[in-house]
Amino acid sequence: MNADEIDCRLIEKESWLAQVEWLAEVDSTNRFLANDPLSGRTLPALVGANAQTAGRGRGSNSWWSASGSLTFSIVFDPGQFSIPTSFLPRMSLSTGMAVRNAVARWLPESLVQVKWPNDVYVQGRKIAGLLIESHPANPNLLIVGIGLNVNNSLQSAPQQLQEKATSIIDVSGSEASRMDVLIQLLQDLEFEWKRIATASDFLDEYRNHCYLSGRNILVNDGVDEIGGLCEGVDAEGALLVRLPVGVQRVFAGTIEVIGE
Amino acid sequence: MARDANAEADELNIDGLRQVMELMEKHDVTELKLEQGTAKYVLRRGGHEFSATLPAPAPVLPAQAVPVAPAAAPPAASDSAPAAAPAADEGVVEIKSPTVGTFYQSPSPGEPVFVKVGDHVTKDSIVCIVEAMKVFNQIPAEVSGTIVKVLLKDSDSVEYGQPLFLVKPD
Repeated sequence: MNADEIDCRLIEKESWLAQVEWLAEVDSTNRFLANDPLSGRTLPALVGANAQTAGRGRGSNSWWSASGSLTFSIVFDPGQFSIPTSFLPRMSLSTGMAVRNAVARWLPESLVQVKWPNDVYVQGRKIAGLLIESHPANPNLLIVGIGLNVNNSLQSAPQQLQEKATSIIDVSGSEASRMDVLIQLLQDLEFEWKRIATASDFLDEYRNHCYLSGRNILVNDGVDEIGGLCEGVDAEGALLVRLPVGVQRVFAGTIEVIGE
Repeated sequence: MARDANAEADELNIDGLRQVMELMEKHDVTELKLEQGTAKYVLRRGGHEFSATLPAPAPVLPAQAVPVAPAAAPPAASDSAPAAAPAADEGVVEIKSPTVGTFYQSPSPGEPVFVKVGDHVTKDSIVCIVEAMKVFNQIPAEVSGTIVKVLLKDSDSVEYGQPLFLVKPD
């Protein structure tokens, strides 16, 4: 079995997923599941793709996917993990932490950080990103889309992208089995999601790996832009930004680190 | 406004309010928020609305459509204010946000809005998205009826339990 091969039946056997499907190519795995009426699908289900032609991020952001990356979406009922609706914002952070923890098993632990709310960064470069949506046909179900750069070296990517993104192979220098990474990631997701409503020390763990803390940042919510020193996250998981008038709590927006 | 005399002594009296309103009219000011002691006043010209609220604990409400007390307080003073209600608002229910976040009326930038005033919705109709920390939460109406009012603008911040829409149930 080569490092990039995916065995759907083995994933079903080794994880908490009921159904796994892997496509050669799709526009976006999130969109694929959003357009799926789910009548023929046993949940929790995963759909992955070797190539996404229009992988999506927040707003109009796109996810650059190349051969060797892991791009997939999971559709599931958050009730399965006893996640109440009011904990969905927390779930955003804990999903990012789960991906971070999985990546950190392949790379030096201290290098792997989470950029609020849930991107995963290594040495200031993005290695994984996620997008969480409710299912249009059934808003009680969530679609969690994850893009993780594994064996897709960014060395052949445009210079501008190389400065912003990285992959496991680019940092560690050696290939990782996509199957191993995916199964580990699913275990880490299960661990974090199961403890969402009960883990009191979660935010402390998150703060320990917070990429933005202590950095000057710009927050753009689509209407306004504010800039200031990031002071980490508060008890609700909101990002704290020090402004001349006081500390502002941020719940949404794109965050850019400035002056580096 | 039933208050005890001690409290009232610290606050604006009717004469004082009248003076403020005259000044607003003279200088063509349409809205004024005043806080004095524990009282908050919102004065608004044009619609002839007037209300006063006392500080109340922020309500944390379940995430579903619930009947609205027939109150017609303006948004700035909607915390409590048992104001008199126009009969037209009776029977209108609110669709509330189940989460803190940012309100979006359409699925993505540039796309048509999920619902507008006058649209008919059923319990499962998606009425908006509330984004919190990159979780895009599609909010179902949870009630069958007609959209009477959209209470927020695109990209507005919302709190837990904050009303998003007013719906006249079938």
